[in-house]
Amino acid sequence: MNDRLPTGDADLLEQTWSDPPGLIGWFSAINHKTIAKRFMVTTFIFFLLGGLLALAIRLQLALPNGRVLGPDLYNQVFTMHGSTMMFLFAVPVMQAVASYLIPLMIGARSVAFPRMNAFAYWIFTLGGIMLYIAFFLDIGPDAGWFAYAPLSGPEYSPGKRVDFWAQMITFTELSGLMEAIILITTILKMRAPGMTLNRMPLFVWTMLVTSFMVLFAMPAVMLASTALLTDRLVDTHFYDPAKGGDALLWQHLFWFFGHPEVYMIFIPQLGFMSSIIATFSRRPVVGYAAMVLSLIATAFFAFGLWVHHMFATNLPELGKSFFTAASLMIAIPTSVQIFCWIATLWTGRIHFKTPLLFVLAFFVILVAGGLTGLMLASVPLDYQLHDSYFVVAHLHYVLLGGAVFPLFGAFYYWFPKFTGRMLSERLGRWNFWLFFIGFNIAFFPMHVLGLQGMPRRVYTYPDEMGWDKLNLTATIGASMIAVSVLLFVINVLRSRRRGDLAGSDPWGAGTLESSVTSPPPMANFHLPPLVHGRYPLWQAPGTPQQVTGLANDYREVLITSVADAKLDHRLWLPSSTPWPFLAALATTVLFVGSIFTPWAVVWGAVPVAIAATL
Amino acid sequence: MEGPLQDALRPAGIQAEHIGSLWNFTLGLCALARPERRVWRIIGWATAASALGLVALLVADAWTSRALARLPLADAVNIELTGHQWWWEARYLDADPARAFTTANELHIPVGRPVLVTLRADDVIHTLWIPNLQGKKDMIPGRTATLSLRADRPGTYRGQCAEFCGVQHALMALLVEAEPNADYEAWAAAQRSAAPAPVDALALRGREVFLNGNCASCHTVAGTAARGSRGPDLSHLASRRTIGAGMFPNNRGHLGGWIADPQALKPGVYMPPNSLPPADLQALLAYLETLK
Amino acid sequence: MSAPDPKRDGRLLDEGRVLDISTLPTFAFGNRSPMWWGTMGLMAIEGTVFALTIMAYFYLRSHASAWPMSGFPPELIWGNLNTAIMLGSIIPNHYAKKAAERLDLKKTQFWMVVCMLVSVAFLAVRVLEFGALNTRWDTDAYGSVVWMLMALHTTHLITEPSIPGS
Repeated sequence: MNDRLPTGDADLLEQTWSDPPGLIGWFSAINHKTIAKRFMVTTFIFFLLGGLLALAIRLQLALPNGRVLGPDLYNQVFTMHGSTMMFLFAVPVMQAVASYLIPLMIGARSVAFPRMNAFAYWIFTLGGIMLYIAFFLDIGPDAGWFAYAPLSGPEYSPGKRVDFWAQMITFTELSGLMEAIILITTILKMRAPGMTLNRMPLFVWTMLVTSFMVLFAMPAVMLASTALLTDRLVDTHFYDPAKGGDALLWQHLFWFFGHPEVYMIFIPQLGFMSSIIATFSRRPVVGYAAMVLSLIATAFFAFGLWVHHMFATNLPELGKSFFTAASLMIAIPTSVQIFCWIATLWTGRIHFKTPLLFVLAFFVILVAGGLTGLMLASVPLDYQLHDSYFVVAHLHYVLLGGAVFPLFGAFYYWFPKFTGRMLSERLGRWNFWLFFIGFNIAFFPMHVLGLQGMPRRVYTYPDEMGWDKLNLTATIGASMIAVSVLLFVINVLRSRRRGDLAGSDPWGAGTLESSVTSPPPMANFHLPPLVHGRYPLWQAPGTPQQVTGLANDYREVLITSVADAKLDHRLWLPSSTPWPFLAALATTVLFVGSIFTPWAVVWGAVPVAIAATL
Repeated sequence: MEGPLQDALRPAGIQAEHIGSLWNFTLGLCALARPERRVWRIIGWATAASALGLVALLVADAWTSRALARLPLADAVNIELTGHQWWWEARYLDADPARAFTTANELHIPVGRPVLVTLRADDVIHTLWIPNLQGKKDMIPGRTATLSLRADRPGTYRGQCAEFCGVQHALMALLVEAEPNADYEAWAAAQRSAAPAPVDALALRGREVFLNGNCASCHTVAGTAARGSRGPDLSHLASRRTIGAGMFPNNRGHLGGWIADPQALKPGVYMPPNSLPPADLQALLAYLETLK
Repeated sequence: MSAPDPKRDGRLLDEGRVLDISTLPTFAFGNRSPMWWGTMGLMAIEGTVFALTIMAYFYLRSHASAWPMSGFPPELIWGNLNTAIMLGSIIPNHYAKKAAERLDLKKTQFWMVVCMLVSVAFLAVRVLEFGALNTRWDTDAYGSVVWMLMALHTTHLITEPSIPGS
């Protein structure tokens, strides 16, 4: 892949795909890498905010009868912590990383709908800002990240607090849904010629599967939160038992989204795992077909588990057992994946660098979380463990072990590609070990606390319960996590200016993103590649090697067929425009306004329609 | 200082025992999870072994569920428990309606006899959880659930609301006193009848303060005109060990502080402060102490 | 094995090492087009919303002793009329599609205007439908779910035709 465009053409091509300068230019940029980098930074800022909220929780709970936060503030804090991490960090960050890497991994110059991509970023950011403004004005939501009705309804949560939460859902789920459409279309229609589905990197498969899950899961929470808003604002009765509604309707709709949601957080990580393990074992992942089938099976199963969040209700026992069986069975495809990775590591030539350390942590932490998940899947066990600190331990083991650790691994792995510089290995190891040890010190004791009777979402506890030592231990662990994240931030800030220069392929990877410079050209590929195998950089180049003939003076991409990536046609994509930003602004006005008056939906629709058209 | 028990790892009743056995079995099974050594055949065997382990868990779960559902209910004590923001209303039912009585925040149950609890909620979702005796069950407005348990060892067991129910969810606890049947029957008999009328002047004055002030608009005291239902039934307040839903010792100091300003102890509760002249407060406390 | 066609396969240059695709067309119909996939994605989302709302309808019904709860079912005349209009709109849609595939711009525009007029007619009848529901969104859970279904559908009818209009 060494042929180049003539210099004049290359410069023109780069110019075509670059972002315009100046302030208006900043709002007009729609190059997918630009948007993705902003998206990653924004979600990471939310991660830090969510982490600070967690520290506040731990400081309050370090001692019995704590006085750091009063009950009202504490309830806002834990609601904001959960909502931030789940809605403003966990899924969006995956979509952000994917929207950067996918075009590069599939040999494309862009995502399929670049303006919608930009709109999705802006609407997400504005929604998150709205939520935090409410929190800083002391009208933040305080009904928990899953806001059960009737507590979250108009009678027991008066005022605007829960309205902001419910509308934040609308913002973030709209963004997530649009990103899913973009990723599906990009993956299916824009792969380099020759990259059949069978040759797609496993990370691309995980994003395809996740995006389909998003299409079918996120509407449930959108519907649930919209019905909650109408209950609160215009007096509907979806969740009001006195007028024929049902408190459990909320739970069914929410968890129909909520369970797939955690798999939507988990499955992209499996893609990170595959990429990193392949590279640091210096061999392809064992069992490609088994891996893909496992992903698809996991996605299907994930939609059949939601009632396991409702075992303590008075639903029929026989029905609950069905969900126990499904919840246990989903462990099987995940186990297959784990066995395949272990086989890959075992038969490869391992190369211990920071990304791999984070990935290895997954095997310890996620597996522990999975085992406690099996326990929670049992109805009788769940009767004791539900809504106790055991669940808090479980969810953090699976979310941090299954998502955050691989994500940090992914950042260490792809930071050179994004910025052209390597992160410090030394700081990386400190980051890793502090995180790993701190995490276990923080969260392992919570299993015991739950078994010893401590319920969750409590702002304090009496001193005669005997829970004080373990709570203090957990707080110490949380502080270690905070230090480790601080080290990561320092590592990023220093390495951006002074890190070692990375070439196009610092780790010896096999997939296409490593064939371009670091950072990549604005047009990704000056001469897009043709693909003849699963790990193109590890194989001898086939013929033909490269594509030529795409325009240099406007943004043009190559569209290929869905299954076999045969040539189809060329497509003219839009270049920089401020209208996605302006449309997001207009939509924000409509969404926020509608919390205060239903007429906002009518009047606000006009500017939205104008902006969306232009 | 070791307080009352609230611990799923120390079962004191048959239902919690069933769950405890399942926990031990599951923990043992999970300890067998091990990494593997070679490639494809091992992957196949490991997957099959995992599937087998899961089936074993499923069978154990089903067996335990069955056991939980089969508690013999002959001669059961019937309690209807209603969750409120942030206290527990308990109505002991009886075949003879005249023998029914109402109390709050503290339950007495006989050791060795089954207890059938009907669960309701008045406002938002609450959850009853007494880990030493049984798993938890949600109390959902508009629905009725039931929970069966039996204490097999005498003791004081602490329960706590386990579904986030608003600002004071953390301070919504319940004491369950499991005692020999004779002691239980004596307690129930005392609860059934109104407390004897006060005789000394201070307590009589205290009763005036109670009936003429805000108290009677929210609280019931059997044998008086006070028939309020927004707050706990106080007919036998002095027989309870705690106030504020299992949170504070039921003594003069705490009770006085609670009446004067509940917001200082449990901010956000629906009971307003009561600024009473000190003499009235003392009288009121004297009266409340007669409600045994 | 058909002969290589530059419009479909591009041209090989430089001893077969480079594939020149400048001869490929610049648009495509149906599922060859990314826009088709985007639209399908939106349909999947909206379909899911409606499926879930319909399930909520039946869920609430399964818990109700009487349905409709206050006892007044809707009058069906306007809904039936609108169903007929909706089904009839298949015709101008079909002709618009055919004209587009023939690359006949004038006819495509004509039939799309007809489609928009049909949706305006539909929306006019929709106003009458709301009046015939015999329940309000705040009457009870039945009214809430019926109005939600109607409101979701009406919103779609307002936004969808305006997309081709723009």
